[in-house]
Amino acid sequence: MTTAPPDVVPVRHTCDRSHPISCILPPHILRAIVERGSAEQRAWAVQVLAVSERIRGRRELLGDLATATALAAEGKQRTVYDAGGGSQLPGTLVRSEGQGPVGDVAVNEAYDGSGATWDLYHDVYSRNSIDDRGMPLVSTVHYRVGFDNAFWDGSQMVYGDGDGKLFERFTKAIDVIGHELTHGVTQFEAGLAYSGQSGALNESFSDVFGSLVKQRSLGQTADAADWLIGEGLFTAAVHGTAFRSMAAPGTAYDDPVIGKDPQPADMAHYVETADDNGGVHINSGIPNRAFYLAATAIGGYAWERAGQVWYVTLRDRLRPDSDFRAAATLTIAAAGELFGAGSGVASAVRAAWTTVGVL
Amino acid sequence: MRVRLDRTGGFANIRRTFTADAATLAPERADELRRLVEAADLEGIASTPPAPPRGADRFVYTVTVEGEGTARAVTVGEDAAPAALQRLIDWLQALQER
Repeated sequence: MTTAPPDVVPVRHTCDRSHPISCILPPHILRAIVERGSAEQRAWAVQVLAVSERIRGRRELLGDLATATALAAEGKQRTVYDAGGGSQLPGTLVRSEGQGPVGDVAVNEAYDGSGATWDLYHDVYSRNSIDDRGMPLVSTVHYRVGFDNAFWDGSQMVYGDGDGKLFERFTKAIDVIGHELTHGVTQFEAGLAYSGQSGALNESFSDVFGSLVKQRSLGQTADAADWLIGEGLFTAAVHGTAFRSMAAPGTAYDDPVIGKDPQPADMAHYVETADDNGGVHINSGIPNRAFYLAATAIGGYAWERAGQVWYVTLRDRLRPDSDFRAAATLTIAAAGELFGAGSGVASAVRAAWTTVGVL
Repeated sequence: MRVRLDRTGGFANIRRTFTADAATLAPERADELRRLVEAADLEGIASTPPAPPRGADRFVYTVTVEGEGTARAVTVGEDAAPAALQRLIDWLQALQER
């Protein structure tokens, strides 16, 4: 265990540091810390639960953690850790909620980006964090050496620095941060299974809300937004502007070393593959474009009406095995309930799914 | 012995391929490669497609070994790679960086 408990007396009585597993506290003590502790103590308790979950190979503790955390958490509860190039998570705590910027740009980007994401969900969709119960937002930067990826591990966000030859650090694009956090939201809501069409929907919802975090942070309307995912993460050596384009899937990059953007823009070009968990980052281009088409047809700020329809669908309608057709019919139904079946919003959503060939 | 690593998936899902051939490596590097392959015990890893990861955006690795009496390919999720296989994967990626 790498994090020290900040002034939690019971831990000092029960924890033998020579035997890390014995440091894992019973849930009732962690719950007490969560209920009565400071923000820093709560964040620490969350980490203990996350670590114990990994050691025991148990998954149900996360739910316990989320419930316990909800008892006391108010407002954003961000912590950022530094893995120092290693693979142990979460790493060393380097910035907690309310603390000012530090001298490490990746740490500050993870802190600010997770804050902007929390704000979108809270201010626009009245959602209290990832689980809607105030779950703390845990980020780790400098994971491994030259690691070309960012991921959600089921409990927290993790960012690599990139190899510096093709990829920059992954915290650099705010939509990447919104994307990773949204995987957490999806995990607690629709639970879209991570393979095939349900997996591509899981990816698409992360791109949608990642892009909305970026658009809102820039104050952009739908027609002013670039609709790019991961813009700025390629080095100057790569012929490409971003990893994905929601407006024009398949056009984000075309490079002699890394190849061409493989995303299809419609169902006629759907890709069957065993790679990438059944093409979850490939066929997501189809629902991504549907959102782009709906949002630009509706106009104004995309997070307001189109975003509301997609959010309600993710929260209340989709199931773990939902496919593209289900997403189409459920977003159309949600648009009808929110704005009226004959509304411009509902017809824009229907037209979008028709254009991409899902309907 | 030829060893090939195909890395797919991850946030960017940009396929990257890393290769090593014992016949063209310096002798000490070739020995290192053989030791890593032996330790990774590819025969002991199921060749079925990997289960969906816990979480999202994890890499998917396919390691293919051919020659010197071996012909084996395995695909594993980054979150499920055994430690010895992960060492081979890290080595193959680092070789290209050198």
